[in-house]
Amino acid sequence: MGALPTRALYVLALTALVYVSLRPGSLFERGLDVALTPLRALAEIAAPVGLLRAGSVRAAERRAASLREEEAAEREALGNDQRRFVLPRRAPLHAGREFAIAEVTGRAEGDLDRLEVRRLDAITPSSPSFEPDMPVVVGDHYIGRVHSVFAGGERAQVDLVTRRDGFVGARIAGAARAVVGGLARDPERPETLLLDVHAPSTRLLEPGLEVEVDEGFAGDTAFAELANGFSLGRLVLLGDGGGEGGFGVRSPIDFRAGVFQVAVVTPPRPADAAEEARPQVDVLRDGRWSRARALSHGDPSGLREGLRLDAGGLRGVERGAALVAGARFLGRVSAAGPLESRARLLGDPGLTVPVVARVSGRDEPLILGTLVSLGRARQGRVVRLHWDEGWPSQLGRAAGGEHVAARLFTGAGAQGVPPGLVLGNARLPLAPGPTVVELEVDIDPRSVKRLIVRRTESAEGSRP
Amino acid sequence: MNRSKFLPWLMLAIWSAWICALQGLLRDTEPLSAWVPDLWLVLVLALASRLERSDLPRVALVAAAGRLAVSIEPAAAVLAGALGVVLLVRVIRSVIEVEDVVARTALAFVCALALARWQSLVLETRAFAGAEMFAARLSVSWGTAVGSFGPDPWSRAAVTALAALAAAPALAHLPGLTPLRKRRTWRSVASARSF
Repeated sequence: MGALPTRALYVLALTALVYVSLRPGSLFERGLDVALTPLRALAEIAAPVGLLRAGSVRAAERRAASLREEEAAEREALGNDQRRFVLPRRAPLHAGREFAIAEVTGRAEGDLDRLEVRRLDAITPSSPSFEPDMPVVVGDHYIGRVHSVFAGGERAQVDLVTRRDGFVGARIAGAARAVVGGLARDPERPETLLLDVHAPSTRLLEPGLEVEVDEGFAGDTAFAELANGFSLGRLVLLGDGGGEGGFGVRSPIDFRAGVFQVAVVTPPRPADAAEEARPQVDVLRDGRWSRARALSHGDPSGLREGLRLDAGGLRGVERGAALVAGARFLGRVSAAGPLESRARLLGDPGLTVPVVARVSGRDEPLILGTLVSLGRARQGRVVRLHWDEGWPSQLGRAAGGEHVAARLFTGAGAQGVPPGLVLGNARLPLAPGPTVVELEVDIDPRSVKRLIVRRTESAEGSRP
Repeated sequence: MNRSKFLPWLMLAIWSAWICALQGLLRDTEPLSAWVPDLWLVLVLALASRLERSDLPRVALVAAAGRLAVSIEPAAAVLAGALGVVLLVRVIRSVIEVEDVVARTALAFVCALALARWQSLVLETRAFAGAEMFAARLSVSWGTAVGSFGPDPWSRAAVTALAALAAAPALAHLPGLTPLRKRRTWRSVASARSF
């Protein structure tokens, strides 16, 4: 920097930096993170400032340790309930079928209509394997079919019925036939996305009729018959009614952010096959975790809430990875250099996290979808979260109140974030539509300085 | 760059990192949070108003490096903020004497607000880019909860201005930074006037 930079160069550099700041995820930005790796030394020099907060750090870490067992048990119970409710409830849907439960780990890159899933049970000689075209369901509802299988059968990509080419044969109220697939937009309510209905055998249809999968006996794939009888949703007349504007199907499934676990429907095993235990794989004990130490103690802007960590790409830490203390979610890595990384904590505005809730008085866990942090409220223990969907109107309102108590956990679908991690307690507003949830955190993530961070999963097999 | 020239800049980076670490810790502590000044900004303003014009980009980059060491803000945003502040000082000091008590207090107030808006804009843009399918609805909640300047912008700008009034000379005299100021001659003032 010996020579004087010209004014033009200075302004050019400033303009370029402003542009990059407002265009996240660019190659230049990732390169800058790598180039600034030596700043780790400065962070280490400044780290002793944290001694001023030693008391609250000790208290938070003791509290996290004391809650570890209890929260791990909560997580396990939630997982068991989620698995129970992801299986079909109607007995006829169990006949002649087996189910392998998988959790959603994310979406295929650049393709919102293709899920990536990971099976939850360990693969044994007797366990049914995933194969392309197998139907995929959530409870009694059909959501799509397996597109491809990878990582030795442990992982698969699932094409949702929302895909433009995700067609499936359907029967409407047991009488009319149609093909369902892709998305339709109701011109009267453009914010509502519906499944599209093609070529109905009649247009004399009433709204609200039940639409079920009916691929006939053969369909066009080997496993099509296994999907028969699963629900797609209820019929909606588009436009001003009368079927002139076409038809749509309103599914109770939130395909955008509300699919956390799925059941892959497989053919039954041969009658003489031995029954074998299929142990569950717990991601908290799969060895893909690394200890990390916080190098910073708060963000100087006063707007953000996060930490610099002493673990980076060389230890397998990548963008999106979860930070935990026991079974408690603290935050996610937002950028990683080779030797250090930046992590956003729960109170950092803009942090997104998939959330599932245990609502008091309700057995079935409630999927809230992806919530966005709005930062910390004045009361230091409360974090505000934007809940875009709001309370599901089909659940109705609980008697006598505007809110319902709930315990929030991470859901599935965010790369690097295991489901079932504890977030805290909240009171959910009982109103549909966008709302703000106030989450009370038992442990302040800012005070936890020794944490565990999720390592990359890239060694698990390449995608097709 | 020989060692005698390198060391003061290294000291600036270290002081900047320490100041930012302390500032971050205090701004994360209720109920202090709203009343913690941006001491890093005061340090940058104090040096930018005293050093030669040719040193100003270096002040911005080295001070930004110190901040980046303890911050989770995007690197490009911190660098742009630092370069922007220094550019503003460079322009203003060719018109008025920015070491003057009133000028430096007013400048600190304006820069604190401008930085808060910049940080908030970067955060907002990134948050909405990640929530493209419901950005319109998120913007309503965001506007209420986060706002355009983040939390407590006025009180923070006010205490930053007070810190500039009271502590700017002290920050410019932090141990190890003396060689940076000693390079100042009547020529640097002339160069500033000629901007």
